Amino acid sequence: MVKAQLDVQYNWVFILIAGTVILSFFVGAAVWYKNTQEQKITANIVVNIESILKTAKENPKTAQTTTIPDVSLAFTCSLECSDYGCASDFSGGGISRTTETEIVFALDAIQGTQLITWALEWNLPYKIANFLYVTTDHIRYILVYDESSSSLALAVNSLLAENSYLTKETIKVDEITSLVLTDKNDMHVRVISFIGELPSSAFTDIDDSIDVIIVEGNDEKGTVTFDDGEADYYGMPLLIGALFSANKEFYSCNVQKALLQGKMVSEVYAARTKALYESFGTEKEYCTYYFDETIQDAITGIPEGLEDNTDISSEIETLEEANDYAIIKGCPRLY
Amino acid sequence: MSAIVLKAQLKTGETIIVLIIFFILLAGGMVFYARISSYTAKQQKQETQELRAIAIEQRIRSLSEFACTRDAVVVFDCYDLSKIRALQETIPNHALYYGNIIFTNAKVTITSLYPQQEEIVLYESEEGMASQPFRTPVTLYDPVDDVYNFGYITIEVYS
Repeated sequence: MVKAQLDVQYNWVFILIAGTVILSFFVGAAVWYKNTQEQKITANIVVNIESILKTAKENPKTAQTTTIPDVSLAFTCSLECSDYGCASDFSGGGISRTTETEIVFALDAIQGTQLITWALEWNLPYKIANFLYVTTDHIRYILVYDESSSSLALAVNSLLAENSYLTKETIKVDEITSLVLTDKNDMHVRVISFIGELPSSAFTDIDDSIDVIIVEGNDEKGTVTFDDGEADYYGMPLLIGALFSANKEFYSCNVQKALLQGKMVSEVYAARTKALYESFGTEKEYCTYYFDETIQDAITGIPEGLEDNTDISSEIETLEEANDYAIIKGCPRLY
Repeated sequence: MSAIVLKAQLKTGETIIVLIIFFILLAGGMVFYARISSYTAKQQKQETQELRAIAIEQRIRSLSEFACTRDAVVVFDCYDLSKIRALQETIPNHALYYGNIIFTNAKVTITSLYPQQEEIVLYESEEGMASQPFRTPVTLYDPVDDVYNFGYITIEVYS
């Protein structure tokens, strides 16, 4: 009788253990399958986003919005650069893709279901590269300016207006102390101040994540001050790049990539100009004037000037002028 | 010999024949599977090489130093012969960039067919066996003579 009772108990213990093992196996298998599938989906999303970014980059002056799953995208760019690019990538859900040679301006972490991409050409005056700007509908850009800085602020605003998907607003202030930013439940607010530092009273009504960058200069060149330091810009595409960048390091890293591209492209243009200079026969000898050493020096002077942080406006002017005259005289274009 | 022994021998023979047939079928199946696998692998390799060739072609399209431009505005599907020659000259100075990022392990040839005839090997990777060439028709502009040529770009991806 006792043995029979024990047997029944042993059976139940055995059933419980076996059941637990079997159940754990199936639960484990299900969790593993779910994780694998999630990884696969994230990898697909990242690959798709990569192709969206590539397509967007090849279509300058075109803003696009793409609906994406609600994943957090992280962009990195550090100033560890090689001869042709810098260590940078973008990632989502642990899957990353390199952007070593791609010039991509974005905040370090963006989230939202509407990915906004926009590209602009960087010409000096010949085309160097296309800059890609990435953001989402959850990020609000606020331009703060006064009468004295209205020229640059309005130029920036009119360029940003070409991207109708951006969430942006402009605030013209007469008295800086009266400025109060309002909360609109954005994931992040980027304030672009053309009037220097803003008083802390401006942020009392806002709970969103917020940061401020300060722009000083004109539409040709100037400086942008981030939380981690100050950086220079040359031309509007770079200034717009600064407005979309996470911080000084991220911006400078992309500028460095642009400079490396500029160096390589300029080398090709210099070699081309020299070859064309030597190729004109007696029939088109007058064309040599637009491809002579002055022009070749101007081309090589552009990347050097950018690297040394010197003024390159005279070189750009020389090339623009020579190109215009070359067209009038029926000679090949410089660029 | 008794009937039982004979029956047993027959059974053994039958089993051996069944085993032989089984192994023949198994061997046939394995050979078939191996052939299918090798064919699929070849196809996959070719597909990968084609995709790589397309990727190289797309990267070439986006090169600022390559395209025809009119006041820095890129002309679609047109390549400037003078820039191609200049690029050919400067590639050795940036071998890492062009070798690792742009023309990864491939041979890129630009051929002008009409009216001018010319062939320029823009880049050739040092090692490997070339796959079936991938060709794209393009317009090649010669700025000296102001002539637009019809031609194509050939990309051969090395395995």
